[in-house]
Amino acid sequence: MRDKLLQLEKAAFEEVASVKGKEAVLELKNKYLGRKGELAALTKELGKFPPEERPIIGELINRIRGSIEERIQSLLTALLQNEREEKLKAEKIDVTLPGRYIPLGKRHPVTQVMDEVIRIFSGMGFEIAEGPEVETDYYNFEALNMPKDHPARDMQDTFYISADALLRTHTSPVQIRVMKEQKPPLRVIAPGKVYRRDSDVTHTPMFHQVEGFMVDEAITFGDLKGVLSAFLHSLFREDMAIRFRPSFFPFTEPSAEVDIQCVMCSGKGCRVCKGSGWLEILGAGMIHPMVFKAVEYDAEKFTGFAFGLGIERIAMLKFGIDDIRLFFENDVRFLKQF
Amino acid sequence: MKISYNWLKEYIRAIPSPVQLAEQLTMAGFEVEGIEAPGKDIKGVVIAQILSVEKHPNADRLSFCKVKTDKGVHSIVCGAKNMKAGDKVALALPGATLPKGIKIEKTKIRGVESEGMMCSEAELGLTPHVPPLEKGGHEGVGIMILPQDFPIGKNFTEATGLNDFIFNINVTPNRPDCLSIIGIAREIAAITGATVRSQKSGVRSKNAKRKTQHTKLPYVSIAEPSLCRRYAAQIIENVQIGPSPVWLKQRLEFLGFRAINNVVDATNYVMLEYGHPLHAFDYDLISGKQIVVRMAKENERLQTLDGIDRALTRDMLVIADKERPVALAGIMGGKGSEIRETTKNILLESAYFDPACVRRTSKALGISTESSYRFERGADIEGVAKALDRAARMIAALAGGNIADGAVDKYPRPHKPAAIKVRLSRINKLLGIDIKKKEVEDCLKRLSIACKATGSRQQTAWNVIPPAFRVDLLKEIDIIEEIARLYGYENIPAILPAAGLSTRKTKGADLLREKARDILINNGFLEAVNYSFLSPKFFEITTPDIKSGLALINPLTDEQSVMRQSLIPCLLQTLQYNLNYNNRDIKIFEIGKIFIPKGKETEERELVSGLISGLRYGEAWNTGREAADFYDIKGAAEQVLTGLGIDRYAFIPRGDIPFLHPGKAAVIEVSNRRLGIIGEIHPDAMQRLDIKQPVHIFELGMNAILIASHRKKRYASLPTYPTIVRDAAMIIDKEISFQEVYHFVKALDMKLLEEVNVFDVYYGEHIPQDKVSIALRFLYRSPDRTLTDEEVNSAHLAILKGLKDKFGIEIRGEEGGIK
Repeated sequence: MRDKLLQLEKAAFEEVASVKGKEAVLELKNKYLGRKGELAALTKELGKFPPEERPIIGELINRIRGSIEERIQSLLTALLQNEREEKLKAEKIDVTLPGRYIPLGKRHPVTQVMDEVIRIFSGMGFEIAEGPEVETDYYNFEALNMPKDHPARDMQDTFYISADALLRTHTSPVQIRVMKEQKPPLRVIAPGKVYRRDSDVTHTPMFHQVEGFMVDEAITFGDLKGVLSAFLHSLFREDMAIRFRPSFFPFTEPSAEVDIQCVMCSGKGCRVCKGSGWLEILGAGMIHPMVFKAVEYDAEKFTGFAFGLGIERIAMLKFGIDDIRLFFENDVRFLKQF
Repeated sequence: MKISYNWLKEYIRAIPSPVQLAEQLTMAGFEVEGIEAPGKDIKGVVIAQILSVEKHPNADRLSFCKVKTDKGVHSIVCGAKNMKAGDKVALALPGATLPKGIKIEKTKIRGVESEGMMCSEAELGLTPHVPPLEKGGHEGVGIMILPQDFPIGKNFTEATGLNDFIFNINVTPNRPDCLSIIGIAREIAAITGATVRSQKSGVRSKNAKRKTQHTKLPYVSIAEPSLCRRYAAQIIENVQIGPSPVWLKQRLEFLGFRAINNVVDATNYVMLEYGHPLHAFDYDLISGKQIVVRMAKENERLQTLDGIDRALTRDMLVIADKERPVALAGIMGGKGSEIRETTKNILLESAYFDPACVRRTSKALGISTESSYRFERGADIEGVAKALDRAARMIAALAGGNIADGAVDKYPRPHKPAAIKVRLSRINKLLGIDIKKKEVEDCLKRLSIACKATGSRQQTAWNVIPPAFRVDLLKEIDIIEEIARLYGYENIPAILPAAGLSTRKTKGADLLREKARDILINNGFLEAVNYSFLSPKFFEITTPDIKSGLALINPLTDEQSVMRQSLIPCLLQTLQYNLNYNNRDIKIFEIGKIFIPKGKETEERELVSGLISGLRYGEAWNTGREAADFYDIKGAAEQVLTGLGIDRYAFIPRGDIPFLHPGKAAVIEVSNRRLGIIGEIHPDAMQRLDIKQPVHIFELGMNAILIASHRKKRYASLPTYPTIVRDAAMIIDKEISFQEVYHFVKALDMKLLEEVNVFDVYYGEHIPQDKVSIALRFLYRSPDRTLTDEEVNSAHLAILKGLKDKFGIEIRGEEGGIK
């Protein structure tokens, strides 16, 4: 019996060692360890042995069952693992292929710059105001100290709708509209579209401006410099050189043109800044007493500054765009870049 | 305006270097936009005189010349033929450089040594540019022969004035006094503290004779003294019209003027120098020796110098003789009394015309001249006689005439400026500085502004009187600006103002606009910005009646002549543009205003519009290559609507929107208020636009959205009990819209029915042609218990029965989805 058992074990080991495939292993398991398997058959013979031998043989049977089981089990585990590995291997994909998504849309570059300008001024407590794009001569010129026959009207070539109605040439009329409705203190920006009868590489008949103004009892030219410097430093670089130089606008006095150091050549002089090292970026000034008169403010009591800047120009500098007309052609290859 | 540095130097001895001067002018409000140095590439070229011209011993076509400079005699081999002994020439000595990087060295030409080169205009880079020197040979071929009075050995650029720097200065409209050499010189003096020399430049006018002749002075009368406050005239007799000398021609041409003849050039020269426009008439062509400054008469005509015959109107000021107008006052002279070669006697005019009057006439006739440009900004009324005298002397010197004794000067009400009160406290309050009394007075002095202290002990103040040429200084603020300018903007400290915090909220419209943008961008739309005006052709796509549009009176082009009344034509234009560049898969949107005339007013409405055309997902490897259809644009519109807080919207099919496909169009409404439209562009419109792929659009009014949107957000507790699902597929008449079915089911108001969705739509095989199969999924739920099958089934069957009774639909599968 003992020999039989050991032979069985040996035979089983040999078979296990050479068996191939999961099915065959299970079959083998059944053959030796199944309820009707060979080991079970031998176990049935246990009764034939004297009781004192039974425990010894029983123990042997158990040991052999255990060792066969162990071998088969480890074989099965290996097989399963192998099988899973095969499966995973088969499932391999090319992770370098592009993902699936709806391509993101983009805000128009003008909107993006506008957003940034608004964000900076909002941070300084400026409110947003809007006004009509079809304006009257009064709001666009007259109230801004540009009476009829004033040569300064040449600075802004105008589209007319009728003798009195026109497309606003700047966002400055919003200044008048707001001041006619509200009393100081005021801190307001007015973004929007403006129109001038002009068209070339640096001019389009429509563009975007942000007008801003601040009115209170003791606003000075120093405040104008402070606020606009803070704005430009935030919009471009903290260490960007800025200069204020005298200029002329009918609705401000003193008036200033604000230049930043050329962003292309860092002030060394290049094609963009025409060799000067400076770029004109915005116009500003102390609100003219005639404008305060038009909105019935006491010019002795209140002072204020106003400024205006072109969004496209800033966008061109920030993104390195050399032709303003691109903004309004809306070529999707252009729009996707920003 | 162009200004010559060399000319300025005649007035300011201690002038800063060109670069420094440009910087100083810019920082004082006279932006220098550029500096040109016409002779900057010519170095080492000197004036020389040819001593002899011989044939080159080894070459027939070459000459061998001996040429003299201050350094000695040079042997030069030359290929030109136009020179002779005695000629003055431009000689480039060894070591000289010429434009285009040419370097001159000693060379041997056919065995003969040449110590330099005699230059042609082309070699000096002068053609077709200035200067107007006598051209050498035929048509400038050959070397350049210089005037005999050029001194031998002198540097060529110095002798010809090519060593000049021409500044392009942006003079703002408030500073007409600086549209001249003397004006800019005065400004430099104010900035730097230098003095302006009174010495007259360049012209040798001392020998101008001044004799009484027989010619009568003209009789001048001013019929419009408010429009012509001063009129002065001078007669120069017996002039000889001819070309101006080289130096004068060159100065004019450097500053952008064309040389014409000695008389006209003299008037232009004096205008450039003094800033005061002048006009010279042929006195013999002035009828009656009489000048009347009057308004034009109805139907009067004048042929102006530019040859155009102009119809005048009664609000135009003219200079007339006894019979007819001879000039448009301050703008342009008449052809009839123009200076010509045969002119003998000159009537020279120097006057002051009302700026607004000149501007109106100039605008009305569309003529802008150097003269009108200055008059409409404001001339110096006190400078009238000085300019006249200067020009008369110059003409006499150049054209050899006599200045008739005495001049006419009608100046009925001389300039009497009012004093302007200026307060020190106001200066400091406005500028945010602490300038002292002395400093202010110093500034005023440098600007030639007379001042007298009038202040009390409490308040320092002055009465100031600006010079007559400063037409811009009328009020205290104008003086403050001058102080700020001379104080230097860079010296005013920048401070951040102390201001109260503001708590006002962002407006609802602003928030909605930003949200709509975000939603569309997240859905893959690119934002477009189009012009607010378009062509009638595009306008008419959505608004057939062009007359209802707001048209520009003076459009730049027909393409941009009508204000838009819809964003759709603009987006179609954008699409067309992109298709031309082969960008075929387009998802774009725009947010912007449209313009609708309402009587004399214009209503501006803000819209948001979207457009989809081409492949739904573009050309990707892992998405279907399907063309976008109506439901893509509808999905985008629905996302915008729900995202902006609108849920009870309805899409009402509409077959009568002319530019939309009658079977694929709808208006979008909320409780019978129209929010917008949606649909596929009509094939007819597509054909007109030559667009071959389907295009779908939506357009919504921002204001209507704002009204319909509810922005309050409320929490609803999450359901505790599960939903029970029943599906039902039904065959239904094509004419019945899903919306009708949906609203019918909703209107049954079944408490247990939570939601109903479509999960399949099918038509085609196995379904009758006029029918469609719709599969609906019904979700049942109770907030307070788990529903039993029986409860759900009875509700579900009730709904199905209702649908059968109402629409006569056929439920596919016996139990209608009940398992």
